[in-house]
Amino acid sequence: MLTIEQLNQFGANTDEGIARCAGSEALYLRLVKMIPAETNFDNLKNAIEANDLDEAFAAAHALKGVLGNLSLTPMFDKCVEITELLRSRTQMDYTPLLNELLSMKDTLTAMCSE
Amino acid sequence: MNHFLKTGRKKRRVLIVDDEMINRQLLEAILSFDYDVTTASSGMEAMDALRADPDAFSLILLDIIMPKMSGFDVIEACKADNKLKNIPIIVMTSEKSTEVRSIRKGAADFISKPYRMPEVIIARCERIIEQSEERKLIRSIETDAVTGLYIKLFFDAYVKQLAGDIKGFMDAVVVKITGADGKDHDEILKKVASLTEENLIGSKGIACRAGDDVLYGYCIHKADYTGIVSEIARELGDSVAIRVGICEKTDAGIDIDIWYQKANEACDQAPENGVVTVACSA
Repeated sequence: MLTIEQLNQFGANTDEGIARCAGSEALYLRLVKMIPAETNFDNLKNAIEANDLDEAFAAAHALKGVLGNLSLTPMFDKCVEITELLRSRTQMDYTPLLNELLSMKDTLTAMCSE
Repeated sequence: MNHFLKTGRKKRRVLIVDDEMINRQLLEAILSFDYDVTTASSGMEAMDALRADPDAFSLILLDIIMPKMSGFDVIEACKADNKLKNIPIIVMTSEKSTEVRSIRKGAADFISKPYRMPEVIIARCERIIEQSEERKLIRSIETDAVTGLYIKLFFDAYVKQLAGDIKGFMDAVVVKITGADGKDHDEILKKVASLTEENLIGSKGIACRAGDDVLYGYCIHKADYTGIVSEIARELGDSVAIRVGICEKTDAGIDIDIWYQKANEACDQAPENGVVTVACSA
């Protein structure tokens, strides 16, 4: 079962996230558990593979929003890094950055499935 | 009294528009204690909800970057719709450039993403709704039901505000209508008011219904009104006539009532479908 302590160890700022959820720990955990199913991870991956930087930016930007609102800090920071590069449509190999983000997503997914 | 006006009424309804479910649920949790909440996952869904019941919503919280119909498209659609244009919109965005662009398009405020603390969001929503409802109340009483022009009380107040504060000269205008009798009175008055506002006063001025068949205007100075008055007379036809009096280049150092007294006197000397102009300082 996903716990606040696990998320703290993951690096999330759970105090901030819970405050944003009007103080409801239950709501916060429920929303965090929705992150693994976020379709924009696949959208981002597919867009990068297709070198469609416009779509990739849209997906990264959307992810940045939800990850920031839930104060999932490590994932948010990585997403910001990717978003800012995509904002200027920088031509580069995004795979390493993407893999770091997806790895963190996998860790979170595993935590949510316990 | 103010406190009662705020707290004695039923809950207001807020529309939350965001393509991300997590964001919608977060905001709904923050707002649902104080407001009834409707959510929409796209711009199109938002417009459907708004058009289905325009009077239901006191506020729209609007994400900007959404597929197919962006928040900017929603703002434009609302502002183009008479039934929706006065619903205040708070934009939610993480982009600085979007904040400015949204305000310029007509949004009332913005909330940055990641969201601030709930208390800040609630306070902003409350303030914007309060301002919007005050403006709605003023709008409902500041205009004449028949002509759509200001009532004299508000016209006088606006003229006082503007007098001396405008670059260039301003004219005080009086229009008196004859022939607007019988069952078509209101329709005729409405037509005269529309023609007066559009052609005589123009976009750089304001107008009011000052009496039963009398209109006042305050507008940027024109050297000659003869052509405009003739054109209006042609539009009105033979059964209705207007007389126009102008007190030109109004002096902010002279009482406003004096301007309109002079314009009234000039109007009474004007021939049917004619205009007489007098100098303000004469």
